[in-house]
Amino acid sequence: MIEPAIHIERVNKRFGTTHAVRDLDLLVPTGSLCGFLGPNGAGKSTTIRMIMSIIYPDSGSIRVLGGSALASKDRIGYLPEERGVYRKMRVGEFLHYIGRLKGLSGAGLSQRVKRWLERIELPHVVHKRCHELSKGMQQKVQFLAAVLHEPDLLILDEPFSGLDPVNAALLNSLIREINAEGRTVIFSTHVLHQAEQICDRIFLINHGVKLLDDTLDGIRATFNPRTIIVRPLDNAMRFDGVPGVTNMTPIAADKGGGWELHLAENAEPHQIMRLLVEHGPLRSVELRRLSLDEVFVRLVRKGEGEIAAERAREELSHV
Amino acid sequence: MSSATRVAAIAWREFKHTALTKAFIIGTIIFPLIIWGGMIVVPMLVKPSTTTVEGTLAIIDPTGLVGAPGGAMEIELDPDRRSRASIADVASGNADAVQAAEAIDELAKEAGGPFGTNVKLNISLAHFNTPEELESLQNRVRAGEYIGVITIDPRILETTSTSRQNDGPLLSMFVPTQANPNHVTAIERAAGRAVVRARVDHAGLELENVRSMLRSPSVQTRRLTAEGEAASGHKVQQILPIAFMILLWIASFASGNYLLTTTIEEKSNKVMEVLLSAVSPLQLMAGKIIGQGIVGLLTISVYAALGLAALSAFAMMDLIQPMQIVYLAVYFFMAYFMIAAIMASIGSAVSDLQEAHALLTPAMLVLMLPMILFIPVSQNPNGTLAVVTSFLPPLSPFVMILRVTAAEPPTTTQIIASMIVGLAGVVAMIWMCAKIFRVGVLMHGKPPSPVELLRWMRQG
Repeated sequence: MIEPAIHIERVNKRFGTTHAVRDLDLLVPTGSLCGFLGPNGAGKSTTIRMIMSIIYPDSGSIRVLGGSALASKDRIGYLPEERGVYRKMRVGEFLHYIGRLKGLSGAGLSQRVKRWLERIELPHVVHKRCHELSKGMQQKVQFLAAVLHEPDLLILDEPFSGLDPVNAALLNSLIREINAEGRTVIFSTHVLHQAEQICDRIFLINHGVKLLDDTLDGIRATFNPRTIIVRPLDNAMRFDGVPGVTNMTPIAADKGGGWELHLAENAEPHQIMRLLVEHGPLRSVELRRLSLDEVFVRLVRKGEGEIAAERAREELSHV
Repeated sequence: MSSATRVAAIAWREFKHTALTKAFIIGTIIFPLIIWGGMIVVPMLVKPSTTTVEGTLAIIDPTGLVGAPGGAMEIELDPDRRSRASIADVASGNADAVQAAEAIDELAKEAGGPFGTNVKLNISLAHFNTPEELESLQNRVRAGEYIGVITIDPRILETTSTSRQNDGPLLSMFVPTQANPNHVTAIERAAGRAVVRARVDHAGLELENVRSMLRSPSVQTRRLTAEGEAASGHKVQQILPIAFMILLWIASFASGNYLLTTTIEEKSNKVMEVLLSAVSPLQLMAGKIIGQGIVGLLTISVYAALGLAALSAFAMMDLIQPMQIVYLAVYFFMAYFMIAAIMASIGSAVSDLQEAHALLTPAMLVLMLPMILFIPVSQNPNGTLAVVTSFLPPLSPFVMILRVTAAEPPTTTQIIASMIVGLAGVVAMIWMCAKIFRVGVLMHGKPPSPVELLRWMRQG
C-alpha cells in the first residue's frame, strides 16, 4: 500500500480550557483532493497547523509524507489562514524570497515566478509593491507563494475566502490541475459547494471532533434520503398505490410542483421509478440527493455538544 | 537547501529592507549630522536675555567697609569701575590681553543667572549702622520700598580660621517672596564679591594684585610621539570611553529597535505563518538577529569611521589602540545579541507597536542603566561599582567598554572573566527569548502579561 500523504492518529490538542481537537484520526491518501470542512472554530486551522508542525499535539501522532512535516517542508506547500505579504516588498522580490526559503534558487526560480504569475493571470504585477495590489490579487500572490516550489502535498487553509467568483473559479481550476499532476491537495473551507465541486474526499469536524470522513460517493450513499421526486403531467395524479411508497408530500408549485415520495426500507429506488413511469404520464422523475450543505447542517446540528457528537459518530458507524 | 542558506536569505532580507532604505540613510547618517549641526547653531541663535534689577537695597553694615557710600558694594555694583580695575592690569603690564579678556568674561559670567540670563544691577544702596533697625527694614521690604535688606556680621572681616566656626550666618539677605530668583542670585554674588574686596582692602592689599597672584597660569602640554610632538589629547582621552560606550549603546539599541519593528510588522502583516511554513521559528529568529546585527555593525562602523576621521584630522589617531576597536566589536556583539533577543521576543509576543510599549518599559529600565552608570564608572573605572557591574550580563558590555578604554584598563583576567560571564548571559538570554519567540509568533489577540511570558518560556 502506498504511504498516505497524511496520517493522523488519536490526536488531541488543548488551549487552556478549550479542547480544540479531540481524538482525531485522519488519513489522507496520496494523490487525493480532500476537503476539510467544519464551521468556524471547529478546529480546522489547529489541525492544519499541527500537520505543518507549527504547533504540536498534546497526544497522538501525525505523519506527513512518511515522517514529520519539518523533515519535508520543501515538499509541502502551505497557505495559512492568517496570511499576508510584506506590504512594501515588490511582488517579484517577495516571491523570490519565499522561493529561496523553500529551497529554490538561481535562474530556475526566476523562470518559475514568471511562469506562475502568468498562470494566475497576473504577469504584469512583478514590479509592483504588494500594497499596491487589490485584496484579491494579494490572495492570488499568496496562493502562488504556497505552490511556487511545486510541492507534493499542498495544504490550503480557507483558500477561497475573500475571492470574487471569477478568481474563485480560477483558483478552483488551478487546484484541480495541481491535483491532476498527481499532487495531494487538502483544503479547508466552510463554503461547501466549492468542496462539493472538486473534492473526492471530505472530512467534517466540529468542536474538534470528526463527524464525517468519506468519499463524495460514499457520503451520497450514506445520506441517501430514500426519496423520489416525481412530477406528473396531470397534477391531480396520486401515487399512493405504488408498491414501496410509504407516503407522499406535495411540492409547492413555485418549486416545480409534483410530489416527494418516501420509500419503504427494503424498496429498490430504480424499480419504483420504473413502476412510476408505468403508472402514468410524467414530466420528470428523479432521485432526490442531499446536497453537502444539508449533510453539513444536519451533522453539525446533531453534533452540537460533546455528547451529541459522540452519538452522531455512533450513528454514522452503524449506517 | 541547508538551513544556513535559509538563515542567510532571511538575514539578507532584514539587512536590505532596513539598511538600504531612505529612512535608514536619513536616520543614521543625515539625522545625526543635523543634530550635531544643531548643537553648534542653536546656542548661537539663542542669545541670553538681559534683565535689569532696579531699586534700593538696604544694607546694615556695622563695619562700614562694605555697605557705606564709596564702599566695596558700591564698586561691585558699578561695572565700569570693576572692569577698569581689570583692564588696569593690562596697562600696568600685570596681565596680558588674554587675561584681560578672561577677566571681562568672568564679569559677564558672574552677573549671569544659572540659565544664561544676564542680570544688570542698577541698584542704589541705603546704608544703616545698627542691627536694631532690621525689623523695620524688613517691613519696608515687604511694603516694596526696598528690593531687599542685607545684614553683615562685624566678624565678616576676620580671616582667621576661628571665625569660620561661628554658627550664625555672616551675611544674610531678606527679599520679598515674589523676588526673581535670577536677580537674587546676582545680588548674592555681588555682595559676596564686595565682602572679599572689603577684606582685601582691610588687610591693606590691592584686590587686583591679589587676583593676579591667585590666577594660575595656563599650561600647554605637548605629547611626545614617535615622530616628534603633537597637541595634547588628554581631554579627548577623558571623553573617549564615554564616546565608545555611547556608540555601543546607540548602535545596539537602534538595531534592536529595528528588529522589534520588523518582527511586529511580520506579525501584523500576517506574513509570519507563511514564513513558518518554510523555516522554523528558530531559523527565522536567527536570520533576523543576524541581519539586524549587520545593520548595527554598519551603523557602528560609519560612526567609528567618522570619529577616527575626526581624530586623524587633529593628528590624534595614536590615542586609539587597535585593540580598543577589537573590544568595541566584541562588546557590540555581546550588547546587541542581548538586546536583540529581548526585542525579538517582545516583538513576537505582541500584535502592534502600542502593545509592545507595555512590555518594553521594564526592559528599557534595565537597558537604560548604562546611561546612568557611565558617570560613576568612568570616574572610577576600577571601583567596586565598576567591577560588580562588569559581571552583570545586561550591563557588562557597556561597563567593560568604559573600562577597557579608560586610562587604567582592568586586568586581562578580569576582561576574560567578564567576557565569559557576558557570553554565558547572552546564550541564556537567547535561549529564553527563543522559547518566547516560538510561542509568541503564532499568538494573536490580547498581548501577554509578563507572567504569561514566563509560562511560554516553560512551554517552548
